[in-house]
Amino acid sequence: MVDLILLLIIGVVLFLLILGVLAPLESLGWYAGWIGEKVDESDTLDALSDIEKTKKPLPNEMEHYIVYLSGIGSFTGSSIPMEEPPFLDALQKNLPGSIVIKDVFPYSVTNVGLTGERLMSRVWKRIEAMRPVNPNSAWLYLVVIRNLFQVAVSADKRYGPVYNLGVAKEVWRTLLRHGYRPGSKKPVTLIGTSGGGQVSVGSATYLSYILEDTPLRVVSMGGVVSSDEGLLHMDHFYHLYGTLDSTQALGEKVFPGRWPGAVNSVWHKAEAEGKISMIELGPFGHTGAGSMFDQGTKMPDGRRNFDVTLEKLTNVLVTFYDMPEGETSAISPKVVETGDVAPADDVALTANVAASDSVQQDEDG
Amino acid sequence: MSVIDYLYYLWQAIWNSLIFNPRVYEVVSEYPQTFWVTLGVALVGGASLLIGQSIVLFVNQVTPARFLLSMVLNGLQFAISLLIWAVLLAFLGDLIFRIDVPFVVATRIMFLTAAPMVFGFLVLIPYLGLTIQKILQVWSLLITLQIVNFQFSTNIIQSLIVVGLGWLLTVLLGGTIGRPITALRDYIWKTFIGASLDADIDEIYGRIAKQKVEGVTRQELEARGG
Repeated sequence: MVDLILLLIIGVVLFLLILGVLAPLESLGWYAGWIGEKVDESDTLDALSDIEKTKKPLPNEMEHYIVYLSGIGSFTGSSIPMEEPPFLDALQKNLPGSIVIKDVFPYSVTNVGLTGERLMSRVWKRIEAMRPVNPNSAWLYLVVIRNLFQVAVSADKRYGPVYNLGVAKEVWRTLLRHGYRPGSKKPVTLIGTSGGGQVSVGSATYLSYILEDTPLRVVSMGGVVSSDEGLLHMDHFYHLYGTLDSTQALGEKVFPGRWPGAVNSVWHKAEAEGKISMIELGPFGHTGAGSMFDQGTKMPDGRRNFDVTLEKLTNVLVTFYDMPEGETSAISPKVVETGDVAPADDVALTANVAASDSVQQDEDG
Repeated sequence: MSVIDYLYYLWQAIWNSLIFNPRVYEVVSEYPQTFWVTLGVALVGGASLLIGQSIVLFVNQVTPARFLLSMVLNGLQFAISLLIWAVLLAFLGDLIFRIDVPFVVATRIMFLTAAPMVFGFLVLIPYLGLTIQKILQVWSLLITLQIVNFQFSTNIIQSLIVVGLGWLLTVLLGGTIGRPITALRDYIWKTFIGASLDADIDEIYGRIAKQKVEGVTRQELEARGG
């Protein structure tokens, strides 16, 4: 019996080591041109941007582009944990002047989901089919582990630049597909849940180069975020977290750059520049019942976790544009009090006003 | 010796080095034919370590064929660096302890310090990889200390001094008469692999990033209808 357990442990360790070794190969292979699209040698970006700048806005052009990067339980950009789509739909309703884009798979540099054209796609498809039947199936942990290693790739100083470039490129591609006009300077916000928080921050570095002077910020929802260079390349970073969420708390434990003593780290520099806001949601966990997306659990005041999160996130998304110019970087790192949240209906109204203001500013500009 | 026999001896050499079995040094020093086995340890260690540190090759966008070639080259380069180590330690041993270890014997044994590097490919693992690399380096250093102890019958302090002096000598030589050797190494890498080991990674990242983003923009805007 002891031998069997020992064998099992060795097997699991070996399996994890193999997964770990293979983890960076997809992004490195893409970068080297072994897989995915080849490097385009043409020098067309500037010319095309100039042409685009002279054009009138597209009919479906939005005032604010929000790209959602799901947590490590996702199979593809659209096949995400079941609790997330209703939340994103509600968020979209709250923000009529904005578009919430949710078709980027943050755990692949080529945006090919696990069930796409991959060697193991059959296995992933079978596991994906289990999710509606048994959302707690142990097989789903395979997806979590696979994607978790990709988060580690994003946070790794060696591979991070390659991986984050790949995701930034796919975010950019998706923005273009949803009518984003290069040079339009329409604000872009990345929302990353769990591991998607790290990938959002990581890809912000390259996205800021692509978007140039466009307002760019990242909202982490229970994200496990490292002291990534991307923090210095965005206008602001918001971290929304539940007090019972020990997963998001891992970020400040496992990443040395976030330790209090690492005073020269990127994290602390961003903090000193007032670029980080920590926003407490309430006594929420990371996933499942009691999580920030849970519609079944209620706060003592009778509001659902889902509603509280929606209100606070919407508040963050619209407040940015209500703020007088120049004040965006003056926000000091702080915990926003629960009482500062506008009710959902009010928020929806504010969103409309903010969108109108934003349009006005553009026209003035 | 068949291939199977060779692989068996290779495995034995690696395993016994990893577990610090001093018997392996006795066998290697007594039997000259073990040269090919210990050389195998160095080559495999060097190639595996290159896989672990292959980020530099991917960043330089080498082809798969050149990637394989670079593994062979790195194995050879690793073996040569161990050979230099063997010469230096034999020289220091003779100088300090008046014990003459034949160069060929010293080389054969020194190749065994590459045994932990067989796990060098694990350096690829994101985030943990660099810690694993440090563990492997310490492991290799401990084997080196044990080898010095075996060859010159030194205690741990004396072994540390010899290895420390050896390291100082490699730094000194690397900055002086070692320069043409480094230049030759870089020339070989540039010629066969098309990449330099000392490439400016930030510059390459910036250039490739621009190309990749431009490609995507062009595709999408063309698809949109110009």
